Amino acid sequence: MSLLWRQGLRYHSRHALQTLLTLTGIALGTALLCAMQLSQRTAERAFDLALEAVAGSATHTVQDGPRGLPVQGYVLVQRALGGRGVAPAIRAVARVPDRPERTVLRVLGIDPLADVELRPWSSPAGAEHESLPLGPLLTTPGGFVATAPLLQRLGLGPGDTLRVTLGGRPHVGTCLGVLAPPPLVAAGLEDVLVVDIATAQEWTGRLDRIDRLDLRLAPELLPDGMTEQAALAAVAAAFGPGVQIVAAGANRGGLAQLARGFRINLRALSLLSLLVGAFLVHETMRLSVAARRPSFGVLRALGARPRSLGVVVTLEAAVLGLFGSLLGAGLGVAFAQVLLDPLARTLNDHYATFALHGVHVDGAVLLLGVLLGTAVATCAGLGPALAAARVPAREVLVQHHHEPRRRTRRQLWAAVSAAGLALWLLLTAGAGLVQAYLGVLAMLTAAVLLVPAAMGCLLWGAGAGVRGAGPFVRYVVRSTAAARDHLALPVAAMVLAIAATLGLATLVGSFRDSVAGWLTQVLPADVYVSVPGGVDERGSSVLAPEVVAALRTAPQVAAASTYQRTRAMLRSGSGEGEVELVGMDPTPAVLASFPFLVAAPGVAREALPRGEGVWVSEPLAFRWQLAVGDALTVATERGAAVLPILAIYRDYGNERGEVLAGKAWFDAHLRGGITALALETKPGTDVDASLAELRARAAAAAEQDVGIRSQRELRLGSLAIFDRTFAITGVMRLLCLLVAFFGIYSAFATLQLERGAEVGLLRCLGARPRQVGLLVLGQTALLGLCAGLLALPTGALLGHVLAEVVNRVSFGWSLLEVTVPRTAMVEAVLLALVAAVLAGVQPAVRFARMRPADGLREA
Amino acid sequence: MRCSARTKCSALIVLAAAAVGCDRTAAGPAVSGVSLGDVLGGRGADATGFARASEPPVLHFPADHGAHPAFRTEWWYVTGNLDSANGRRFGVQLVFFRQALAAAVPARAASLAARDVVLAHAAVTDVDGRVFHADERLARLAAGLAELQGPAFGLRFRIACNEWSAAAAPGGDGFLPLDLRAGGRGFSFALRVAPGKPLVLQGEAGLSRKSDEPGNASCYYSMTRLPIDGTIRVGGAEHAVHGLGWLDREWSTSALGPEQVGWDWFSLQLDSGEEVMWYRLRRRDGSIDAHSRGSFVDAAGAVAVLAPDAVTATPAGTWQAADGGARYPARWRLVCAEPAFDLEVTPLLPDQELRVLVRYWEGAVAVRGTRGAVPVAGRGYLEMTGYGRAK
Repeated sequence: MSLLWRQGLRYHSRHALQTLLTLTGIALGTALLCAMQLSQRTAERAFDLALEAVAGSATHTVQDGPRGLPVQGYVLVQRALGGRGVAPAIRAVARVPDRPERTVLRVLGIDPLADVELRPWSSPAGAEHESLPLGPLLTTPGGFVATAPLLQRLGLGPGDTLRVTLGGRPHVGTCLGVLAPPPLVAAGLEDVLVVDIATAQEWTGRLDRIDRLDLRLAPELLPDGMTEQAALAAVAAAFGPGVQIVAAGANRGGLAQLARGFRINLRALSLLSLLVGAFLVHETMRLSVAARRPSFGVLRALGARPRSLGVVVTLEAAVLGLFGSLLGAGLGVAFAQVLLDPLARTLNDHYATFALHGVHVDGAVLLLGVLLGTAVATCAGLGPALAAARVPAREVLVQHHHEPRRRTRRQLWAAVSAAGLALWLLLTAGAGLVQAYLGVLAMLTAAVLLVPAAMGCLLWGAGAGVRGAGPFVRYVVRSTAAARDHLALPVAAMVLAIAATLGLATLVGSFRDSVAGWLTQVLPADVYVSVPGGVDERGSSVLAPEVVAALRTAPQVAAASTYQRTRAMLRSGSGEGEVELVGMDPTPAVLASFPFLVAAPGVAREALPRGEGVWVSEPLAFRWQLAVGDALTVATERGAAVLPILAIYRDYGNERGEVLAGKAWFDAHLRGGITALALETKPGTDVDASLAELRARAAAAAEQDVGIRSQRELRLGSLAIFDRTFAITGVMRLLCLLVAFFGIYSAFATLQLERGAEVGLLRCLGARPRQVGLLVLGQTALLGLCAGLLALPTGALLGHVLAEVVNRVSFGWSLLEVTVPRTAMVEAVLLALVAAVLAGVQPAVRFARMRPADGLREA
Repeated sequence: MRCSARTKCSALIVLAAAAVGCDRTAAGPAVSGVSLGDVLGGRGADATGFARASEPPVLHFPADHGAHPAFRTEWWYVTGNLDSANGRRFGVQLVFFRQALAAAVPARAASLAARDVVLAHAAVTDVDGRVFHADERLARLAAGLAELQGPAFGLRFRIACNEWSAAAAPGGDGFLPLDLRAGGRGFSFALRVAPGKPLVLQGEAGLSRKSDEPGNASCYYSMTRLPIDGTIRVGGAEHAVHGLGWLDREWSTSALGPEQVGWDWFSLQLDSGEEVMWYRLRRRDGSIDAHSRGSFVDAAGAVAVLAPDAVTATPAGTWQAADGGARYPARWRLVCAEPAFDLEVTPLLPDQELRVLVRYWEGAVAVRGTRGAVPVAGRGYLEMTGYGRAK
């Protein structure tokens, strides 16, 4: 091994603690990145598998919104396409009242006889390998099969019964056997009861309809001479106008699209943590180069070329990065498991019902993490490597080292340009999330570049403040100020890490306040009634008319608003697609309380019930760039209907956006029963006491499991979902803090270690060990305070940008008010102080114990 | 006896095996290994609630041309040898099976709820083109996916599975003339089967016993010589065709015994105006089952039952599909003392194997030999099943 390598190895093994800290930093950063990617990939894969298990090898899917398709149309298609590659399906969400641990399951109704080409695992051909009990499945009402893991979770065996509710209506399922499809399909069916399509019809109460028709329009399956175009035309003709024929793959990666904003936000967080890791590497390498300057000088004098020195230092950084990120990749799998649960809950709350069990370890993700970790570490080592290459041979003769670069002015200019760039990027971000993040990055860069100058000001101020204090205190402040160029980088890293956590706290806190405020505004009634279900149905299960009638006429009820939620194809301005549309029959109180952001003057509230226009929620307006007065085209059974937009209202309930129309218009143009009721009780009614009576009344009216909740319960429930959603951000923030702490600790600890000479001199001048220890702790505390204070404005700014730009771009909604939580500010400063003081403990003890002569020699 | 023989239909076996329930061991080995016997013998499958064929049936026509839902399994089986005007030869097969998945089901509201499924196989042997086309359809008897009605109450007979159908034409007895429509990749046909020779009750006045166990039998009748006209489309060209067909009807709940693994079934139409039907049941140990039977129909339509020892059927040579699979006999010789015939049966194409859900061989054959001392020729159909297992 060459001399060059050996000196590096010796240095790092002698400074094991520092090396270990650096490794930990890189490992944590990489781990966070890998964990985020892994858990998201797992979720996306589970979602795609669930989709594929349902869609099979279909090339196209025919759908017609929540109405479904008439069976007769299916029969016609079956005949037109020669009976091959045509399979119906019904999907629904079932609740299992007897099993608290997993209350929501998906139900998939299929026709095994039609599934030969599309879902071979369910067809008689597939039955060769699996024992799908076709006969009983087709002839037993309520018969189902499921994968072994699901049956095990439910504690069921063949012949056992299971009570389920669909759309609130109770049904009894009978387990007919174990479904053993190929592993990938099984993974997509982990939370699915597979039933015959007739059972699915009975369970969903749509006795002559199917949900969707999956087609495989492959040349070998189509009748002789029929092209795909002709087949599509035949399908369209069988169902009439308005039916949607979607090419397969359009839904693939659907979760990624659904949860795009959510995903990018988390990814940005994990990248930030890696950035902090990079600072660590930079610091370590910088210090190691500084400490080895004499050795490098000797090596140069012995003939080592500058380039070799640079290469050695770069490679050292790369090796650190490699080991750290390898460690991180392993750690990432464990972290991913921690993140999976909150992630699954969030996705199930907001996007789609599907099972998520166990992290799918994707080698590509881990490899990418390791590569990225190594690359970032190597890049972070480039600066120090350059410094090493520049060490002159005479260094061995000259006892003093320094990096004399005073670049304040240049840095200031760079900071101003970065800030300008940030401003421009953020202001023009529009709907571009990536651009918004680049803006944030530019903003943080500007902040980092400003740190030395800001630190100078702070320390100058501190110096002025301690003018009257004793010499010891003044020494602490002045010596710190004198070394500020040297200290700027670790402080900047710390500022960045703490600002990030503060920014996140601001975002989450403001968001929560906005949602809480909004909830009180949009829930003016006393009691809310709907059918509990999965997010896929999004409250579109219809309340039994008997229940509606019984509740409206209850003695406690003074007035009731009704809601009919369905999905419809809409088109307007720059947007087109299927959107939730609600027909509303509001009471005056509900009408008056709607939180409008923009409204046509005067008429908006009154015109809606008259059917003269619609209200559009903010996320949809943002996504499609709609304004009051724009025309919205709704595809109805009677053709297209055009309505003006009367108002845009605040809505945090549905990031995909929704449209409100009057009941009369809805009934005239669309179909759909009442899906929710808002009841206003008579004055003086004890709402909580009346809930039980209302529930009894509903239960007596029809056999349907109906959710009847007071306004308070609903509000608290919604906030609980909100908190669950941000639980994952909380976990991420915690991990980020951990990385930040390690960063600060490592940077400051190593920083102090190179001050042996100064301390040795102090001891020689008569300072006592205790004083030396206090000096070190005082300096680190001062630096921590500096970082904490500088993080406050940076964090506040970051919080505002996250809340007002990134949040809006991600979800399409604006917040009522953005405030930086005070507790988070105190937390940030405390964190910085504690981390800095802790980082000073070890050097303080070491210096206190050091013999003065050793300290002098260390220089 | 096409009966038991025919039941093989792969998918039906699968369905019937599946109908047994979730306990796979009760249904025997994996489906590919399930034999006719397993299914038709009713082992494992619960025959409770279904009617059993134990007495010669009292038949009323045209009603008995229609469905017998009290029995588990039933089929309408048409085969034919046809010629085009310019002398091109074709074989054609269209069969509809009805299989009940349960004896009784509760009344259900869903439009797609069904007790029965319909399976159909269609094949065209393009002798001159040397291509064999085959396809299948499978659907539940509900909502028009499959249909089965009449003949009764003024409704003409009709059975359909997806777009394939066999439907009685107006003006007949509600069953014949029968219009057949089917097609798949590379072929389609539209044929009319007209009335011909009177129907023949097979076995004991229509009761065809398949094993010693009472009830292991089917009701079985045939129409052995029916004129067929229509068009066949193969390889993009349409051919007007004319020829003779054979129609088999059979229904049962269970038929084969556990030791019966397959059968060879012959339906031969001789130039002399006579017909021979012979089925040869093979046992697991390779021997010929004592319940093998047949019939001989003379030109006037008089029927003679052929006892198990009356006919000697000898296979010669073997044929196997290019992708491996079952090894079938390549030719047959049928010899009978009384009525005296000695017939060479040769497939018009070696490969007439239906590679559908379950594979079996069924195809058009040429007949050459002697009837008494007089040389005779003829045409017919041959079905061979259960060879997969023998291998």
